[in-house]
Amino acid sequence: MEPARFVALCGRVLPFAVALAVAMLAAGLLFSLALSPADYQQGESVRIMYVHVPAAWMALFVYALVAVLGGVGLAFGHALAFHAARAAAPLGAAFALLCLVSGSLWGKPMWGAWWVWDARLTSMLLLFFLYLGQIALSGAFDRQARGDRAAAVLALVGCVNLPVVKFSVDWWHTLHQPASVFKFGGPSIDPSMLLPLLLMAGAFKAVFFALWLIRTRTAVAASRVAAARLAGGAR
Amino acid sequence: MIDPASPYLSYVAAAYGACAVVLGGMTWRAWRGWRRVRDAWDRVQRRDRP
Amino acid sequence: MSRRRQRLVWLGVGLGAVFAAGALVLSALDDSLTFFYGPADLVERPDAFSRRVRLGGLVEPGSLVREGAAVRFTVTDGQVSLPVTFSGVLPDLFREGQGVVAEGRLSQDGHFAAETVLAKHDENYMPREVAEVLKQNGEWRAAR
Repeated sequence: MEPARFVALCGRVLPFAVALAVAMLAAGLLFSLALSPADYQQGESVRIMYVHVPAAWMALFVYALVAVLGGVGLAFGHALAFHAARAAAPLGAAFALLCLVSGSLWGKPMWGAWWVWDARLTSMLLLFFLYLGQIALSGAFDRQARGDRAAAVLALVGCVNLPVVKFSVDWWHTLHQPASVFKFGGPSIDPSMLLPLLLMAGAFKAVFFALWLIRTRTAVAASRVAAARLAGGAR
Repeated sequence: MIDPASPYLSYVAAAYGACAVVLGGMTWRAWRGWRRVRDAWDRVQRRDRP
Repeated sequence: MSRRRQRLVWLGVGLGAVFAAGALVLSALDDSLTFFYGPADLVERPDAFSRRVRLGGLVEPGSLVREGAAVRFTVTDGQVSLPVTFSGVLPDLFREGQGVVAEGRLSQDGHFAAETVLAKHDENYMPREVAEVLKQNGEWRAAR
């Protein structure tokens, strides 16, 4: 798609994306802080789950998205795929960081430790570092196209870690509890707690989508501006 | 409704505070990025389609 | 074959190789990736008595005894039970019948001296009222 049309399209979609994100976030916060009960074992600390789990899902989802976009960019040479990947990666890193921080704040009162080196926590920390490496690599070259390619390769290689994060709690003994929502036999979480969890997951997804639109639009416009400057300087 | 007397209130508040900082920070950075390129983009557009 | 097809095939082959390598590394590291051993696994390990290890399992209901600042309890996996001693602050979630991970040393007589105790919680979330109804109806599956 040519830059002008893409930027115009983003401008038209953005108000709806922002409205959706704000509405979902308001509903999610209302249910997670006010309209849901305390847990029979964990008391009020269970509310940290409504931030922690959606952040973890987003960190995994965005990484897969960045890898797919990088793969498409490498295979077909689409500039838009690289712009979209570069726009998404820092958002995914922020979600990974939020997952680690909120998990730590949940672990201290419940487990009795801010951090342990079990397979789930360690693989999640590795995911955060993969994001950082990916972002650093994409900016490490004079020519953006080179950085994009290097970052895409790292994103694809780092995909190995995604199933490790997800299934670490099943493959090894970990302090972290196993999955509650996506597992055989249906969720082991009461509907009154599943609803805020899913609302917050939807809210995080909507927030990500709105910010991703803004950032991709910025990347597309900036690269067009840079090309125009180069052409202007050559004249 | 969250019980304000809960011993875990500070942990919950810190987690939601971290959430606000991360989401707010991401939004601020994304919008600042767009604001910086918007004017130059508009100039390029005017030149392309006078 | 077009250049694009060729690149796509190389991407696929490369990704397959990376995943295979990852699987090999993880299966080789299997033993060090586990955070704790259950009582039955622990007593069969040759190095169980020579180093700091983590013991995980359920706190046997009725086994908790407090002696001043020190506590004694039994960690079980349903077959083997090990007595544990600990002095210090137990985490809030520490309960009889719930999961626990103790880090410390196992002595030759099968007694585990814990230096830290972490509570492990399960994947079940529900309000207190629902838990009580489940218990009343006898649908409570203890020691999950």
